[in-house]
Amino acid sequence: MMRLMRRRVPAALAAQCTLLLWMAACPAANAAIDVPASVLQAEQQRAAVIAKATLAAVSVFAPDGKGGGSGVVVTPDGFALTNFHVVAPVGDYMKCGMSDGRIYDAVIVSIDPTGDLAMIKLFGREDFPVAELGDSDQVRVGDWCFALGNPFLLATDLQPSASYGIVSGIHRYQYPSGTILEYTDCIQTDAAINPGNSGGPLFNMRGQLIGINGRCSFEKRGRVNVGVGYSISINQIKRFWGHLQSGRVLDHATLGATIVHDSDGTLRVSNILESSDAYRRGLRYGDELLAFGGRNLGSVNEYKNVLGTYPKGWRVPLTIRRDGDRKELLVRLAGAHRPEELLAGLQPQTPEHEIPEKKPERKPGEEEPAPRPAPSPDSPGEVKVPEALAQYIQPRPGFANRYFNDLHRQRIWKKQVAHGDFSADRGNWTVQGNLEAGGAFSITLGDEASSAIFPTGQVTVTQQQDLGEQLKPEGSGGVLAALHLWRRMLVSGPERFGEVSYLGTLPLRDPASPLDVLVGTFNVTESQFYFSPQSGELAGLEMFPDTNVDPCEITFSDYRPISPGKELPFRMVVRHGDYLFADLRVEKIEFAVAPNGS
Amino acid sequence: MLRTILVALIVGLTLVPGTVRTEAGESYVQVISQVQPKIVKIFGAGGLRGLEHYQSGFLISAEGHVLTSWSYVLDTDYISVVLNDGRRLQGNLVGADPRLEIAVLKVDAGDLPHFAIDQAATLRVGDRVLAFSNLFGVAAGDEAASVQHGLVAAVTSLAARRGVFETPYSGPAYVLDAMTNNPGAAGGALTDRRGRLAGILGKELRNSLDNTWLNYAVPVRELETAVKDIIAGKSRPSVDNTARKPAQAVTLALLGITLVPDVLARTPPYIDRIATGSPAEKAGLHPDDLVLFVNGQIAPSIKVLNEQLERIDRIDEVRLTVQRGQDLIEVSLFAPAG
Amino acid sequence: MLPPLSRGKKVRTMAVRRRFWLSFAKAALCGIAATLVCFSSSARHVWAEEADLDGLEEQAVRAAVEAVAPCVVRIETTGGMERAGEVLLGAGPTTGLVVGADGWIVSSAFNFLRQPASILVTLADGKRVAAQIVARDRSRMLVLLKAAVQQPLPVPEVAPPGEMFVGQWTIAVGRSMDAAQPNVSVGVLSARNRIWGKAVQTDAKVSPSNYGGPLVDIRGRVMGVLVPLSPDAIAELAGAEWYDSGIGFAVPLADILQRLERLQSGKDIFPGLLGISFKDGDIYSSLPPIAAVSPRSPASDAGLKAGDQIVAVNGKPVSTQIQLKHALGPLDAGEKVQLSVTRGTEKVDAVATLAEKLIPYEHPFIGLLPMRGGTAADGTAVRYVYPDSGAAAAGLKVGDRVLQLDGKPMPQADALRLTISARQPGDTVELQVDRSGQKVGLKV
Repeated sequence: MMRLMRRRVPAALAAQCTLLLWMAACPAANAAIDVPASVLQAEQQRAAVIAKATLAAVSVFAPDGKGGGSGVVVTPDGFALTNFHVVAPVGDYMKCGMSDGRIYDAVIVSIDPTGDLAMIKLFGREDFPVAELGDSDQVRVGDWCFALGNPFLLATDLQPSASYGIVSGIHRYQYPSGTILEYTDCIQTDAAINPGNSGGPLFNMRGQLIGINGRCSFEKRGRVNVGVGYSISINQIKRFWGHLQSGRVLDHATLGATIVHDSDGTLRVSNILESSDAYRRGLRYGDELLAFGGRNLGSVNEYKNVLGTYPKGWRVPLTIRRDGDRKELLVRLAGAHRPEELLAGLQPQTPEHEIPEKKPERKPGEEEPAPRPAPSPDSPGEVKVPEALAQYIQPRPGFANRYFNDLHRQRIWKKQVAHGDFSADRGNWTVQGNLEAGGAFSITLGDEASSAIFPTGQVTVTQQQDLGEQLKPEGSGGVLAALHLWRRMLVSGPERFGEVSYLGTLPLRDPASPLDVLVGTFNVTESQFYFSPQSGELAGLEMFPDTNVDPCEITFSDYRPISPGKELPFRMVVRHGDYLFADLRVEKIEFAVAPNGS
Repeated sequence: MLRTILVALIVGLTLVPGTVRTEAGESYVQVISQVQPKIVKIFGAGGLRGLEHYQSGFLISAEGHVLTSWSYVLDTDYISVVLNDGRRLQGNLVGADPRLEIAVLKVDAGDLPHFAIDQAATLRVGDRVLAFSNLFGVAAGDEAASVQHGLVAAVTSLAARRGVFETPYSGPAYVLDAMTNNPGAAGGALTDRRGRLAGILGKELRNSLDNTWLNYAVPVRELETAVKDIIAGKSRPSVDNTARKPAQAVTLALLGITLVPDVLARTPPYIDRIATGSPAEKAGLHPDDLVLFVNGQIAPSIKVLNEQLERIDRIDEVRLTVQRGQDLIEVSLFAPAG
Repeated sequence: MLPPLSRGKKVRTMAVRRRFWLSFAKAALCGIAATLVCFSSSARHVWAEEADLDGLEEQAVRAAVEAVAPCVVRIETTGGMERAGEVLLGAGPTTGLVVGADGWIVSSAFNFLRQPASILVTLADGKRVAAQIVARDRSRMLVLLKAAVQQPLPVPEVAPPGEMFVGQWTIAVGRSMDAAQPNVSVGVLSARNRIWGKAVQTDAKVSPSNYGGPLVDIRGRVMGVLVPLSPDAIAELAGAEWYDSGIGFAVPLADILQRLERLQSGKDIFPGLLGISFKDGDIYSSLPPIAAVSPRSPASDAGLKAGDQIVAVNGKPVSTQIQLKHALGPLDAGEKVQLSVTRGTEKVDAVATLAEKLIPYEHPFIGLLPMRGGTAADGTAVRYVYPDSGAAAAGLKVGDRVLQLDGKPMPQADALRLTISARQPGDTVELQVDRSGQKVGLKV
């Protein structure tokens, strides 16, 4: 078959001579073209934006160097975002390569198995380059954008791969696929997103972070990009921001109602739990949903999009229509999953887009340096964590890493103590004043029991019994028990109050200003203490006597010094559900000397 | 000659305009917002065995004519068409041209934003394009279809050679450098960068020449007459799947050529023997010549060569290009009369 | 002189001398013509004045393609295999890039997986010519073709690697879809230093439709030649599974031209192997000491030893396995590499000449099987002698007892095995053997 492979070199010499002549005449046939300055300028601008964004991009590696994904640093002290499905198989400790050529140790901070997010913390610098956060609600279809990441773990030089495209869709919803993992309100892009890009950033052309890439529509060709990638919107992440720092295993939310697309094109409540906050706020079967979280709804997906961007416990405005009348409700969202469902998500798994470790394909006889290591049977849990890092890793039930939770609890309390250290004020506290609605009150809060005189009469609570069953005065939802716990927290501090952990951030009444929340459990009653992230003041308290009832909610304001270095609120507004129980105008707060002097 | 060069240079320099700047992407956002109201999502049969029950389409009249892809999705009594504003309407099949793989639906609505099918843009290689479709069924309710960007990578015939693409459509196609032809994308709109309709996205199609998946759209210009006929109620020819073969085709034996035995999957068509006095001998063909082209089409193997000859009538000219050493030689042959 | 495609029978009566001068004259004319093309190509593109940035970018891409188009050829093959292993091979036209005016064309090795019987090149002007593979770069998965051209071909302008930047426009050009018009895909440069320093990465759609074609910048200069590549394997098909996924690679043209002369001389290029290995471990963490040096490898010839700690390659410090692999990755067999290592407290500089292949490790073997369960006093009893082995040639027989090797007593089979394994294949050892009570000396 190879009969014609006789070699003949015709006129080789001639060709050589002419080549010389020709080369002298024109070194290149296609001399570079003149490109309009505006085109070159736009190209340079784009490259500059990418170059700057590259500084904050991270390649996440399992500690043994096998498998991994991408991420992006968002704080100068090294907090970085990535996907839950990237860190899930990696474990509590990982390595992060950055474009400065260095590899930093990192630990898990928080995980959101539903939203496929994880916060990790890199160590080794206090001046990490960070990605500027954008506003994903301003993203429009057709905007140019770029992704950075480590697709197919190609970034062996630790420089991320950049891919460029447009926003193909916004407010996209992607169903859970076999797991609880669900993509809500995400950005769809045709910038190439491939396995390994997971957890990496999507930027707008101003270099602002608009999303975390995590999912693709893959099909006939298997796991390579087909022009459809999804990015978790940065605004969803911002809403989870406090939670993502909390060291906890995060949950998403449910309304406690089922919403369906009716045949007339409307969205309606087809099912509702009577135990839900939505029901207590007045949502009923058959109600038509018009808007949710300030967004008009046109499809069930849109409803799910809004829902998915909120953590459990957030209060979200809901606009409904019933018999032609519009109604506005502020609904507190319940947890979407049972703890065991969330924990099931923590089992080592083979998530959809995790890069499997590659098997080295060596040529026979080749013993090159740095071959891809062969798979080892070691589970991630058995990886040896560097000694210096061990203190930063404290896995506990319900927590991804309790270390960071303690850190925030301490931070919040330190700021609170700046407004007053009440640890020595162990005697009874007397709070006196008038109700805005008229009448005087006097409340005495003690270590073991508290009592109060309201215009309606005298009440007492004692912590010998379940505080959640002493909801006095009637209609307050248990304001005396709540204030009893308020004093207990201020006097004992979170270390001795009971079981106290940092929840993250939730709004109290204003959805636009989330507050730092400590959750304290004492005497089977769970309370949430809301602290202003700016001033550190305790801005509110909610006492939940039970899971399916409205809490007693007190907002504290009008802080005034009662003695040097000690400030307490002189206005306390008490609500129970939709009912405003009392607006307490405090006149006087006094501390009795502690009975045992301790 | 030198003067010519200088003139060319000067012309070249002066024609480069000053900087004209628009915010990059701004124009796409506007164009897309104008196009989206013309795109529809179509739901019908399917949903089993990996067959999607959805595809894409676009409005081509204010009265609700929708151009889409002809497929099994339309093989149902209830075709649901969802407009960009979320309205879900019954789609009635007006007609189809299976040869062009298109169908026209009608929804009962008026005053709809639509593309003017007779004003379709003609694209060249390198033109920037936008592709609108409901790929993967991502968009529900009033959610807008997906948009992808890219350019026309090539303008080529889908049936440059029979069997290359498994599609009845054989006309020109815009091959795209965007990954447009995903599940559910068929029937979507391809526009130029200003939002002018240019093509209809095709079905998922494998290029058997290089075993890759092809992303392409059929130029609307190729469909204009057919669409008008369908709307006017004129009948369209059914699928014509015969690349016509002549009753009496030419054969190698008639030409006096014997090739080496066809023993491999791709045996190269080397000439083994030339019959004395045959047309091949008269044309100067030799044993050991390698037949490369038959009437301009490459013959990569004996099998393909025979297939090519089957489509040539024995009264027609057969042009062969053969390689002899490093030389290419073209000859013209006619089978002997009778 | 006939045009490449002539009608009718070819007449070979022209004197070589005549052909020489004719082709010379013709080529010279063409050179001048090419000069014209060269200048006019920069002027040819007329920029529409009202165009917005999108429009200007669209035009710029088109102008860049026009500029490189004369150097982009179409390649067709006949015959050859239908599949490589399990993989069904493509049969369609592919692309090549002119790198030398007298018919030198570079393409992707992927395009020749079929091992075709014949290669045909369609030039930009539509002329078809035959071509042959002259040499392969088996590190970068390229082939160099020589096409039988009679007129000089235009060669592209090279984009200097130092001027490439992530985020710049990259335009992938092929000539597979249409012989008359290149097929185009546009993206940006994703990364500069991929596949262990051998390639740049683009998100333009790269596939069999443009493998072998150029990746050009917005000025129409050639950045590199498109090839499927993978960091994990050196093979024609490796990386092809990523076609059109936004992961594409191009070998910088500057790197190809640097090796052009060698390839033109018909010599293949191979990845340069050193012959050291490390313990399995995290390739991103600190470089461990060399675990093993292959015998008779470049590393051992250069005097490297197990336990040496590599600190620099060609003067560039390396501290991780990936850095080492990046330093060695672009080097070819035959290239010299300077390795700085620390050995204990000593700093040693070694120069190794990288090899095309390593001699596979062979167990030294004299060709006998010992009897099981020998006792200390007995020596090692021979249970079997392999025919054609050293032992057989030396006359060793079943039942012999090996007492000594090179004067050392060999009381047990283990001792014998250990001593032999320390020797090199080809060495000669002297055995003292007890044969039915008689002591016999043998050279094996």
